[in-house]
Amino acid sequence: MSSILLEIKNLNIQFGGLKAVDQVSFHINKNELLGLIGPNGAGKTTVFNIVSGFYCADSGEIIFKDKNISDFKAAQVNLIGLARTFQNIRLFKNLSVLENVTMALQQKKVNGKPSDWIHSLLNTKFHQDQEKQFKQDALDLLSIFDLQHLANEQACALPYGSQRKLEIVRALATKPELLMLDEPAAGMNHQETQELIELIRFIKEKFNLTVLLIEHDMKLVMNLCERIVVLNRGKKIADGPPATIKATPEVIEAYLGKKPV
Amino acid sequence: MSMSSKNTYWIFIFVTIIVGICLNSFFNSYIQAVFVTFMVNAVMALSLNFITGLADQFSLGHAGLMAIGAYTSAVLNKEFFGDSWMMIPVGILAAGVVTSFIGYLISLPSFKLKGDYLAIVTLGTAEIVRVVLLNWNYVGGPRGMNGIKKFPEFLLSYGMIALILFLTFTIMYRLKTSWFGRNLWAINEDDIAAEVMGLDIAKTKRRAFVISSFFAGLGGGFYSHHLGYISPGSFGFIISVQILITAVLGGLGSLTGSILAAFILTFLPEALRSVQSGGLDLRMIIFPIILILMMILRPQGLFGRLELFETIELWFKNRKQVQSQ
Repeated sequence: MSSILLEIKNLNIQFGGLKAVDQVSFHINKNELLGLIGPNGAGKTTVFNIVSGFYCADSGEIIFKDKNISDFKAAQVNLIGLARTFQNIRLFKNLSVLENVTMALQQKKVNGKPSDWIHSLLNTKFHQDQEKQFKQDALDLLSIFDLQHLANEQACALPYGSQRKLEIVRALATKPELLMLDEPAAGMNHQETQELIELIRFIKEKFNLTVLLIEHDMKLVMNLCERIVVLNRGKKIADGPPATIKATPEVIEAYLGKKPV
Repeated sequence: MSMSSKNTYWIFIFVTIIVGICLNSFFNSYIQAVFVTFMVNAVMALSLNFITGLADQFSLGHAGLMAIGAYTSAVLNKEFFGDSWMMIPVGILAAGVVTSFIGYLISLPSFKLKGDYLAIVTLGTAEIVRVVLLNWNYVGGPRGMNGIKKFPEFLLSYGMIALILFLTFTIMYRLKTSWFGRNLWAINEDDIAAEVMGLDIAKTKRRAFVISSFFAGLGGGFYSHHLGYISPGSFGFIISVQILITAVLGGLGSLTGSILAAFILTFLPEALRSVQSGGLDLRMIIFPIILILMMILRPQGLFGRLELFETIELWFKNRKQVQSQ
């Protein structure tokens, strides 16, 4: 049995009169690929936003590696080992591809200690070497994803598929243990989706990751995920391997409606 | 063409000395004074550019910071340093430290806000500073402070502000091209994504504002000893706007752009003084028209985000490509 990496217990959040997330509990095992699905407005992204520290849950607990991170802010959540991407791509558009990745990977190495300031103000040998090292690390990471030839391009000049890819690379640059992808296949065509499936499988093996995935593309989810959690109207309605999920009456009902009697 | 090379510094020092000697021997005290004013404006524009250009945190209160620096330096010199010009640099440094401390206090509540809200808060803070000075008899109230010690020689004054400008530029350039600059750019581009990368954005913005305040304090501190007279009226809202215009004209994020824009915006109104015919002050028509045209034709400012030498490099590269085609 694999151990539990992230556990969500009885999560609740209410926006005005709307219960967006209602008593949701699920867990992710280490090295698992978990899909979080549900119809529009089911609360998937809200769960994501709570876990990644943007919303504060009304009640409930989030346990990551035996540590309660319920009231962590977004930056702290990342530093403890959870990285995420966004449904609408959020790159640093006018920075170069290289700078996008460098900015992400420097966070755990320089954080404003007095020595960081002194080195960069005096432009010491140490600082120059460090900058070179950041650049090299970023290039190494980019070359794994075959993006190194675009390193000096502006991020917004990249084609859509590469922008998605770059956002994943940037998240990986923070060296996470759990990668949370919010609709990575949104706006992609069939071939790009196929490539994305390969990519996600590849990074999971290569970086020894656990992946939590929100997706609408059923083919991608059924193909890729080892286990699926289904939300509908803020409530969890199913949890299990793809084959079981396909056969669950509640899920079919949520997506297609009730069978006429 | 790398800015970090030692040669660049020597060239800079050499040019500074030559310009200083030329100004001292061939020009009258009016041109000298305008030139020094240009360098004060450049320091102020750089200071604002660091927070507004790099980190995209809109500040409309830099005149307030400048006032704090100016009054600190003037009071220190008069009351504690016995009106000695030798102590002016110490006073200016102290002004920088005091201003950055006040800047830190301002930043504590302000940087939870952004955009227009931040602009209004900084504007309000600058007004508070001005009104406090206006009602404080110890610093002269509305009369301001007279007879602040000046440098006895033009070259000393020139050397002092050249040193301040040099330090401001060098420190900001190094920060801009280091880890800290990248963090500021990231906040500028997308603060939510920057936060998700593990960056404490509130802290980073506060740090940038403290650094910005320090240099605004230095600029203000020198300014009081340059003019010899300051009053709350010298640091009104319009000064904040002028600093902002300079930074925008040079290009938000371009440090050399700020310096060049300060040069243009200080000398242009002076040069246009001669364009007066029969009581009609054309200066105030021509000057705004130039600004309007500039913003229509080049909304990103003179250099956009690039530095002067980067723009030149890019220009040469494009020319080569055109020629080879």
